[in-house]
Amino acid sequence: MMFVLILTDVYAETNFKIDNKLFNDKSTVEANSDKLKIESKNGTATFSGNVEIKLNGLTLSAQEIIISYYTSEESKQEIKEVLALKDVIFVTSKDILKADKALYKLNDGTIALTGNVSITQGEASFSGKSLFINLNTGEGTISGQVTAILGSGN
Amino acid sequence: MLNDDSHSKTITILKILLPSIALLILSFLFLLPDHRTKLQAVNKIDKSILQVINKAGINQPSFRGTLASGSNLELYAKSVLPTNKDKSIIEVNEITARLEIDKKSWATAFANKGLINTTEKTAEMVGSVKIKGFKKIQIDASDLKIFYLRALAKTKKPVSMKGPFGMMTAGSAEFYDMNQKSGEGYVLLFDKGVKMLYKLEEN
Repeated sequence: MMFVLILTDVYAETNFKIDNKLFNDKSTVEANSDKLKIESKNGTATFSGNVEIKLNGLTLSAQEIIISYYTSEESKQEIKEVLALKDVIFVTSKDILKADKALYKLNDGTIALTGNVSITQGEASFSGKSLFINLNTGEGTISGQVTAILGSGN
Repeated sequence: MLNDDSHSKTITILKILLPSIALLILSFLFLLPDHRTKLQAVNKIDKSILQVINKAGINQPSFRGTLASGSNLELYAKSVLPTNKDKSIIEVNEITARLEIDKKSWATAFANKGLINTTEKTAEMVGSVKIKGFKKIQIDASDLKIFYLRALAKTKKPVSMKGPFGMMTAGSAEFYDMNQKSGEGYVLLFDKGVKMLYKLEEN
């Protein structure tokens, strides 16, 4: 037996909870890619070609990931933001997020996903134009032509 | 042991070799966190080495001195052997170099064999290239070619680096310093498959 409910609203915003513990854990990050280019003038480190970054149970994959950094007053290099482009996919144990582009700002602890955004949480899925996630609260808001598919059974 | 009897030839060798070794070390120092110190060192290092060599009249394949940046550089090669008729290609064996930016910031480099081309102004390290730095950074490569005039250093074969930050491997690596021409800083390029493990707690 299968039950599927499809809801579509052009102007709606839908809120939901994201597992934010994975982003806040301090452990080892594993990064794999075809290339890595570090440019001091721009303050960027660019991973390109089949990029995959793993942190605990979180996997971020994309075709290009650009990490912007700056040098602090104590001469330490700090990461400012992380930009993922093309075929962006976040996979956690509970959620699968897809988008064309994702921007993670470390200062305010937010991730903005844009372009063909979709979220799959178990049997429910949402899609829209953009998704804004606050990592401090774990709350996400999807907006712009939101479609929700709520299914169960089978 | 110095097999070539030409004093001027030795000076020529050292003029190429010392900046090359310095560049080799500095190329990897850029990966370390203290950005300001690294830039201070690289901006002055090559000219200062040449000045020190000319004044000292060095006639052995070893060198110890203070650079204009205030860094100390020590270099030793077991043997230096010209390999062609016009002596433009020189084989250097068992090269060891140590660069001290200050008491806490240093790096040592070792290579089994080096080929210095005085015409092309290149230095090619082969066999085993090992670099150890402060903060327990260690770099291993099976080859490294330095194009001194272009401030370019590159490996064609795999390179690995490990330290408290974690580890990194790549199929090849390339470093070029843009400061000499346009003041645009440096570029580090890792290619042919990059793998990095970064410990967040340590950094």
